[in-house]
Amino acid sequence: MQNDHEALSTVVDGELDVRDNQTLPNIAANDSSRATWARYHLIGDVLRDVLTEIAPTSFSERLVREIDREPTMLISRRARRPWLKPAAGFAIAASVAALAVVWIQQMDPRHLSAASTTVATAVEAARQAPPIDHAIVVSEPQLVETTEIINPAPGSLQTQRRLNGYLVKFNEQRSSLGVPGVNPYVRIVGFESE
Amino acid sequence: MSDSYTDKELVQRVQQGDKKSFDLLVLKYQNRIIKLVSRYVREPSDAMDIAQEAFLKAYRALPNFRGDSAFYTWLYRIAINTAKNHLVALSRRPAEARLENADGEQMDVADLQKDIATPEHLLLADEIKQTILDAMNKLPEDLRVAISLREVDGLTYEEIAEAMDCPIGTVRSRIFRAREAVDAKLKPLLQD
Repeated sequence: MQNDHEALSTVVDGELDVRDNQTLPNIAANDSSRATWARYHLIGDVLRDVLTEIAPTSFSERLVREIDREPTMLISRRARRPWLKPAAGFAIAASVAALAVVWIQQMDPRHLSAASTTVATAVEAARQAPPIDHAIVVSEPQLVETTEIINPAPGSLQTQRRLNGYLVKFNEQRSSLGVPGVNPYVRIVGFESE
Repeated sequence: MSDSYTDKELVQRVQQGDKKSFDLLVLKYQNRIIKLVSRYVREPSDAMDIAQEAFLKAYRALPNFRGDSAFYTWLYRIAINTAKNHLVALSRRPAEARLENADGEQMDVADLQKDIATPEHLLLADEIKQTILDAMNKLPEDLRVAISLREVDGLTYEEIAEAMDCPIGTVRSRIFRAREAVDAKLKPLLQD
């Protein structure tokens, strides 16, 4: 019993050993330990002179009854990872941005295909180039202009309409949830592609 | 204060469904929260009502508590907001104090008022304070200094060990023995 109370005293002081995962649940589960816990804190409150009124026993008993009526929380450790929410948001934003690129490409194939072909050609040229000697200064990059028009595939008009409808619905849903809309991403992608 | 680690552990346990751990947080902070809200309302019964409401609000909001601030800081803000809301609502409400639970059910708080507004309770509060202070004065000096450094000055065991030039284990033991000695005088007062 003395060891239990000494452990309790240590927990009251916040000096609990991080490996000790038994003392707190034991205190919480035992009426006598909870009463001791309350008295130890009461002693501290008196010494710090933070006492004006002393809560009657019925104060915590009443709260316990109220809390028993409340639904039990079950938050998994996974849900408490603070980075998960922004990461998920970023993933959604990235997916929608990618979708928007595909959509815009299909909306205006002449301009966009020219731009993307330029990039693709530059990448291909870089791949085929001989290995670079790092001691040598790299020559200035050159743009390869092409104006090849890619005709939309048969049936793509229907696909464009569906994609367009999907994006509109997606934006409506996101806006109704109070999540920052997707429009800015679409605008940025559209602007850069021109 | 270093006891934020204990609070963090308790909060995590509540978030995983252990309601009894919230009881420990209530028992730990009830007097401080009552004192805090007493700055806003004069009536002790109102202070109790608001403190209860603040704890309930805190429990309900606990799923959203991420631990960015200390639990007490967070609870402190909830209590202040609850007290301010109470003052705003006071003029619109009937004089009879009532609490509402989550379902909008009215709860009569007359029994709580009865507990705290009596001369017996006020006398008990004074007796408790006096008993604790008397017991402290009768402690051996090393025990009294150790518990004062911890409770009044908020030093950690390590800091106390350095100040008192003794091992941490001795500090732990001295503080515990001091509490046991004071508690032996206090416990009979609270048993009724």
